[in-house]
Amino acid sequence: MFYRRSILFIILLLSSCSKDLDNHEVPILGHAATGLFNPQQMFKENTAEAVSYALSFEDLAGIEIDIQLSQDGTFWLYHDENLSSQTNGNGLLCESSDEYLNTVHHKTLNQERLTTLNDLNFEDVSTSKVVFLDLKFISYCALDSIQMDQIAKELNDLLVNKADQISFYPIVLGIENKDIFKNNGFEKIYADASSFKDGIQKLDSGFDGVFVRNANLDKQKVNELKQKGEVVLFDLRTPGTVKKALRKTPDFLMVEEFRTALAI
Amino acid sequence: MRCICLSMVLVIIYAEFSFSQKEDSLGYKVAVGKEIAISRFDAFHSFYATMSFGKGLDIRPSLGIGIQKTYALQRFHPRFSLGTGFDLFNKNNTFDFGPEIRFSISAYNLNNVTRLSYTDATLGYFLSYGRKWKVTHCLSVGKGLEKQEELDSSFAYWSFNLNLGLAYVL
Repeated sequence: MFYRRSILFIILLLSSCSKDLDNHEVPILGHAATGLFNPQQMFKENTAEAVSYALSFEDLAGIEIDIQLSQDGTFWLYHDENLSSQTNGNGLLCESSDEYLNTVHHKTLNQERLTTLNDLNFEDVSTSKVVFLDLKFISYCALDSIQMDQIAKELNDLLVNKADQISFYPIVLGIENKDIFKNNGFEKIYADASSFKDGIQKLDSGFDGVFVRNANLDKQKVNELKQKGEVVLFDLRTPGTVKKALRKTPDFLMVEEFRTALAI
Repeated sequence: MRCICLSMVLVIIYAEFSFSQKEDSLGYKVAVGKEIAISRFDAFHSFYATMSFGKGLDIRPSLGIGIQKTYALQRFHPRFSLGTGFDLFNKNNTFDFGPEIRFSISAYNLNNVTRLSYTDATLGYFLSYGRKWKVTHCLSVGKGLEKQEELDSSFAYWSFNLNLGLAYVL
């Protein structure tokens, strides 16, 4: 009996299912580089380590990172409004100085430091990638249009010579801000859309693409939106939801665990 | 991979033959079992053997497959793991407990471009309870290395192993 079980196990092991290796056609993006609140993430999201790790995967199309602005006008990578939620720091990031932010680290085993956009090193990236910049500071900080114009120019100046292989596309809030960023050298501007209707409105108003939650769109609606611009589906946390989203054939999928998505 | 499987089969067959011999003449006891091992990036369904030597030294090789990658993603994800521990309650045949060091290697094809391999070294404890049938448990933490083989790039990470199994003493 024991021999039979052992032999059966070995046979099962050697002949275990391994599907033909194929690449699905929908490009995959890493949400905040390695996924927000992803228990399997290699490094904390929105850090230099996470960006470097994600972009080392040749078949990952790109990443999305969250950009905030410090009191001193430096671009930092961070998702939440308040520092205390993810780091050992306190207060709002947009009200904190660079000197203070340099002392802050994430509440993880690796204790990754907060990263500035300028800290990111793209020199080792060998294939063309897309980096979406979710400009959180637009909603977190009170800025007028003159300040926004200055910020858009500084952001473009910072990124223009960063890496030839990488295209940087901002995700912005508000039609007026879309025009400001477009006028400051960004080729494509994207927006968050809360629903199909909102997505149609944003694309009709001149945005090049929209980020929509996967649950809010079926395949038909994705196709309708794609006739007006690019569609990026997000909020994809399990292999099952990623598989279903792939069948909708959007322009990009922004996932939490990109290694899982790449293996599907 | 086939070499690892063959080694495992030889260990199991040797253990089976040794059942008919006296423990004293052989110098060690053997138990075989099945376990679920949860690690940082997958949960593994494994078969394992425990060889307990006279002075309390235990060696535990195990061979398993990753449940998430193999079944949910259909990417064959085998893992070979080798644990070495020292039983602090050597005189007691019912309850075993002691420190353990464990090395594990696993690999799978992410797709036709990328192959990922993982090497873990962890330190922790093991315990087991029972005489003929033993409930076993190990917990260990340490460091691991993820390697993208085609790029020759590697990333270090914090790793852990949580094992729960049932073994039969031969």
